[in-house]
Amino acid sequence: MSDARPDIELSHVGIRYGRRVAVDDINLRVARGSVYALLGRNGAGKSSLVRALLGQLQPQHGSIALFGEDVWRRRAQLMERVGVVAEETDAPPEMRVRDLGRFCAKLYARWDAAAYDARIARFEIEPLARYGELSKGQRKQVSLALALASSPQLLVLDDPTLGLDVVARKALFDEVIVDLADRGITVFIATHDLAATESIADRVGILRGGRLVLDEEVETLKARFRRIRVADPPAALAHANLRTTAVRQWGGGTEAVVSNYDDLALAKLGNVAEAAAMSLEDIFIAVAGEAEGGQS
Amino acid sequence: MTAVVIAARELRARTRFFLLCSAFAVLPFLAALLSAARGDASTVIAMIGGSLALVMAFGSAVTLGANAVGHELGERRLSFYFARPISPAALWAGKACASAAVFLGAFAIIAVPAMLGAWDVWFNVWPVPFLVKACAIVIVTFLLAHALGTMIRSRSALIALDFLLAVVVLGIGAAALYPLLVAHAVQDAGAIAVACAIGIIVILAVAPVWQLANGRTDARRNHVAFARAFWPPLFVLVLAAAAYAWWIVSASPLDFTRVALLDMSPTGEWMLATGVAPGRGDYQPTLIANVRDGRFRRLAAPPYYGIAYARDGQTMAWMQPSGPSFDAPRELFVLHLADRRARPLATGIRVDGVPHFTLSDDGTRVAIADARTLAVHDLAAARLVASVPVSTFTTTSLFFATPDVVRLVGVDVGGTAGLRVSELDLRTRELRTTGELHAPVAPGIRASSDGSRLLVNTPLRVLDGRTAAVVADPRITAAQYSRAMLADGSFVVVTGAAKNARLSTFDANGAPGVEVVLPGVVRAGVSAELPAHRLVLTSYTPGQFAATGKGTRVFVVDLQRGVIEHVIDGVRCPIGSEWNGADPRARIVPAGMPLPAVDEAGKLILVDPATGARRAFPS
Repeated sequence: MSDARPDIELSHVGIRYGRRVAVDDINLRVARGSVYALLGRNGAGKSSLVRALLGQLQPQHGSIALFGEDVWRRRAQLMERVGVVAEETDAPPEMRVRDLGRFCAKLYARWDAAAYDARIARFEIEPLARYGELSKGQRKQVSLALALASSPQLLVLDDPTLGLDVVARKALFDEVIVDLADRGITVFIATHDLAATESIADRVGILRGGRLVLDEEVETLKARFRRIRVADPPAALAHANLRTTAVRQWGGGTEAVVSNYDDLALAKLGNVAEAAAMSLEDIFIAVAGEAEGGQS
Repeated sequence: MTAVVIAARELRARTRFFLLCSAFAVLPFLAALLSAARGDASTVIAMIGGSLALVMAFGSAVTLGANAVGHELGERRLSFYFARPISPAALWAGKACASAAVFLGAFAIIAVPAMLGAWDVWFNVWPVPFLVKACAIVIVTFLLAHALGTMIRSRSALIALDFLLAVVVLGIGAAALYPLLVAHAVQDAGAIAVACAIGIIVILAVAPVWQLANGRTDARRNHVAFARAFWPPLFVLVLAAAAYAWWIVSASPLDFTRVALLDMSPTGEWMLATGVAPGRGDYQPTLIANVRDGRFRRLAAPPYYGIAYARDGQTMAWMQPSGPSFDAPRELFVLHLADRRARPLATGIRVDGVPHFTLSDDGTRVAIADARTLAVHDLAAARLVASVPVSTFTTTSLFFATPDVVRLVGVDVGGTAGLRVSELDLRTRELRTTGELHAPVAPGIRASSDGSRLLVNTPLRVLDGRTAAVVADPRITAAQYSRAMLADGSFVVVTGAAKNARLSTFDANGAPGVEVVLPGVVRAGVSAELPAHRLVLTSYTPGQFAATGKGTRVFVVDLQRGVIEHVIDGVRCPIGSEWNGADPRARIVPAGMPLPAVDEAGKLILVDPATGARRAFPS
């Protein structure tokens, strides 16, 4: 992570709804120009964290800063520099696509009307269509066009592909990637869409039960996670100082996900049959889905 | 600027509503065309146009109030605004101003064409003050609808707390205003109510900013934030209003700057004062104060329907409306003066009209005569002792001739019935006429201490207290200004002179006694009878309501010697029973008892009739 001041900085953030803890003591930094993917199962606390990140929800504990400023106190000013694609399409349904652009143009100092119109055209959305009449994918696309037309320094995407088909997902992420390449903006994505995220994320965090159980560079993460198959019993993995999860019997031996893989440790095991690299999705499933029953 | 952008968006979203209003604007004219009463088309247009405009304005205010923010909050779409550089104040201002433009615009779109089309009758049907009030109510309706919408949409248990707090606030407000309304301090109550209303409007208008700043996109947190911004200031406002109302009604004897009416109990131990205290608007403090030790009790309202004292001076009674309306039935209140901790006690005895009432000498019974009946109640037992129908007289005097006999003296002023004396025997519950005088009688009956003699006027005569037979007819020819029967049945008359009034005494048979010139005054009335045939008189100026002692002179006269003992300038003592007690009997103020008075500054003071000295009250 860069030494420069991060665009996003969460410090000991805790969010509760009554007695229910949604987010528990989260510390997180997102460097300028990076793409951060926050992963988590339903109810893990992603949306609460995003709402807090956008200054829409005040955490009971901790602080959240965007560009070094407290987002709860300075939300209105900070939103000038932040583009948001919300999980739920929230624009007024009676507004026409064109009018949404005109409305937002009056709110932002650096509004790029041409870029908005160009994206709407690229998405093949009728400018005079009412927002409420659009398909879910189109509404997401309009939201993205609105978010990017404000020339943001930070783009926050809250489950942007939720409910979208494969084509719509690709179109949406392609647009983000193009913009990333153009301007190098910071991106924070809370998502289920691991496949799409894997290609653009620099760093990933995994929320489980409101806690950030993993926060790491994607490459490092992928380097230390392996799915291994050995002819030895599970105890042998522990003797080799390998932290495992999702351990299960594999023929006469053991299959497990190793979260601190290195070649030397593996060399201690004599009967390694296979050590396969894992996709982000596999790692997520191992960490967020099965880890509760795993070993360490 | 952002607020304008939001307001413009909101207005654009309601273009169809304005079109609907425009269509409604035609309806009054269509109705006038189709109406059978074509000759009165203007009235039809004005009535229908104004009514439609008000209905649309109210309806849209309620709808917009509940939905301008609440709808998007409920549908979780408020995040659209919070994800943009829009401050909560701008968001609320934009939505509220647009809403106001919608419901006031709806009113204007329908009302203006109707007003122009029915110009000749419009302002008769819809007076401008009414329309201004209606617009104010529409705005309040919008704000209240927003408040209620925010509360209900949260679907939280906080709604029960809101309800509880609303009941408490209303209770405090009612408790604050009630004493003022009972005291007929309508201007004070109105001023407090208007101030509270303005305060509530301000709170209702500002609280949503706090609500959105702290609740943002979450409905429940919006409710909590609104409640935090709404209830504390509202409580401060209502408590401040209650404190001010409490201050108004907590005047003490020291606060008087004018004493409009002053009275004293038969024993002279208590004075009853009603007047004006600074900063208290139209509230008139009414206090019953002990002249010996200065302790006092407040009456809720001036005793407009008279006051009655028991002859032993231990109990007083008065009538006041039983509710905040002046037209409410009058209820009898009793105060036991001897009990240091006693409070005015509502007896539950209520009457309509203008009652005359008196207490028995020991204060245990009350006799009340209204237009139709004479009723006697036992106050201790809270029961009706007797109730009999009586004839209607212009004025009625009554007193307990004995513990079981109520004597009623009815006078038909200007009528032919003259004067009739009746007695109600409580043992037999029978009302019997004991005497009549078929001659014109003026109001203002005076009686001797035992009630055996009555002094009536025009012409001045002494009657037997029971049979109404003429006992003395002094045939006074000089213009009389006041008269009083003394305790022993003798009487005095004050007649006028160019500069100096003249006091004449007469014995019980009407034989003249001494004459005393009251120098420097034109007219004077009897304030008190003292032991050993001494009399206190106070000058007055006809047609001038004296609330201070300025220009007033008090005389202490020895009737036996026919000399003035003391002249006290700049002091006003009460003349007769200023609160129109129904008991006409004379009373002697015990020796050594100071007399209540008002000085030139309108302050309550005490006067020692033995020395003529005055002192501050309470000292």
